[in-house]
Amino acid sequence: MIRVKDLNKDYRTGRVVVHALRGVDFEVEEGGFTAVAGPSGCGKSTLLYLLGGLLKATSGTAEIDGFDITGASDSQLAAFRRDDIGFIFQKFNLIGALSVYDNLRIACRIQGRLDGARARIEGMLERLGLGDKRDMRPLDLSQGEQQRVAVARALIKEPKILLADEPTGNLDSENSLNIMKLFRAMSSDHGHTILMITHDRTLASMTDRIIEMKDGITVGGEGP
Amino acid sequence: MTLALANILQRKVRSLISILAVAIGVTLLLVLVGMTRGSINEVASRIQNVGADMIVQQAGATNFFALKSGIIPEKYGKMIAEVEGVSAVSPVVTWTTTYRKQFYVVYGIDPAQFSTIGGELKIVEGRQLAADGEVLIDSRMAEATGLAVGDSIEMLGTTFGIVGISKEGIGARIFLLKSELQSMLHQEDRVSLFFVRCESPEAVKPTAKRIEAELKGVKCQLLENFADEMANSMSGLKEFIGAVTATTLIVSLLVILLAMYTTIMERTKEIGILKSLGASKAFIMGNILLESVILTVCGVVVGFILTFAAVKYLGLVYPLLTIEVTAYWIVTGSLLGIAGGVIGALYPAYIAVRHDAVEALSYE
Repeated sequence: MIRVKDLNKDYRTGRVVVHALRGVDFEVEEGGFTAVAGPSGCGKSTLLYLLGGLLKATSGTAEIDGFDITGASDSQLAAFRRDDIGFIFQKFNLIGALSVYDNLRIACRIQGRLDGARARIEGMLERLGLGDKRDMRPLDLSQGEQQRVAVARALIKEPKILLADEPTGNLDSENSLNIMKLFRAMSSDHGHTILMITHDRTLASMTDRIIEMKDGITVGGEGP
Repeated sequence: MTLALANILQRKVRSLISILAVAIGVTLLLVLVGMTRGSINEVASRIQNVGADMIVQQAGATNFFALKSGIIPEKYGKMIAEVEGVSAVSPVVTWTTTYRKQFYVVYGIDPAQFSTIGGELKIVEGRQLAADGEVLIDSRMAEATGLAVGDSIEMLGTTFGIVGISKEGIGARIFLLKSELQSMLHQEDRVSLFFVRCESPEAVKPTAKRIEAELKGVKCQLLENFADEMANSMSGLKEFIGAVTATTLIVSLLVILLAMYTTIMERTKEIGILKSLGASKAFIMGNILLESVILTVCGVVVGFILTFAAVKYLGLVYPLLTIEVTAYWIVTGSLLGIAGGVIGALYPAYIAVRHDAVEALSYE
């Protein structure tokens, strides 16, 4: 379960302070597929990075399954990202020097779970239709395939929560639909909790719930 | 494949340049130190092989006594022979000459006296010196120059006939009669040094003290550990080796520092990705250090190959040059190269772990 309460994040550039998040409140139940929607610059990505432990909040609390992200140290946050969070980015963020297989393997290596990793990775690649791409480099793949590799890398860690930042932003409509179907299946069939950032209303409507954001605060939403 | 290895293979030109730079540092160290130590040890070994226990020479002379002509009265030889503990004395006049652009030390000896100290010249071809105008050359010089018994050799402004080839490794490479060399140098009653043999190994040190006490103005140089003492007495040698060693370390350090710093800047995004996957600071630093260790180990290995190629080449071009590449210096060169690489990678690794993850992820 994700519980966010009065979460604030300020960015300071010289004398200028930008209030990216201004008292965000919401809760997400385990296993849900939730969209955080809103216009560009409303603080969606900042919220996602805060929940993933890549940024530190200025004030407020954010808990995931009882773990207080806002009070954690750098090393605790690294361990939290390693064990509990799977990130999926708009620009895929795969490591170009590594093959598809090794992009997944490094996630296992960081987790210290190399026992049986080969079978798990090959199973995951098969599951996402990437079985024949395992030795290819990311740049040799289509964008849709690259995003599926990114999803596979996030899932191989078996995280509690998947945090997706505009995951279809670089994809055409067909690949976008395929990724959304994949997320839907991961949530419905495998019980993954997914929090997806998007500014696309159509994509947001395909989730269980929409949290609307504007100017750094939640302004309502749809769904349970 | 590990991330470190994958990155090395992906940036082949950068990796190759880094490896070559480290290799050149290691090669420079091994070849220059090898030449220095090799030459000293080879000269020292030849002097030790004469069979004497000590050299008596002018006090204040350096161990480069071979470059000096006669400065000690020859009559000292009889006085040394009478000192308690001395069993044999052989006076030698030393000089130098150049033949086909190669520098040679020349010994003027009395063959009979020279043999009494144990350094009997083994003649492998021809015969022993018997008269003026004759020289012996050693087998290494004969091989390097193609000179043979019956040939003549121009040196010291005179033409000499080669009457014999001696086995290499004893004293000098060219021998002629002491009396003739004294005459040519206008030093008829003087010699450069005396090789002295003692009655027993235990008698060497006390005998040396007695000689120095009885003959003012001379010093006794014991030939035990002579190579080390010779190296220690050479002004600037330690500093030279130190400078070469430091150069290797600094070259290795700077090359890896530059290579790893630029690669860290290039791979800012990759570091952000690793952080998003939950990689610890130790994991990120470990990968960067591993990459630098792989590069430097490759550089060290290539350095060994270049060193042995250089030694082979120099041996062909300069057949009389002795280059000693010892296990000690191979290990030292390896450790210096790797240490330089690791130290050079530390700062870039520190920069990497300090990268802000979100900024790194948005880096293009």
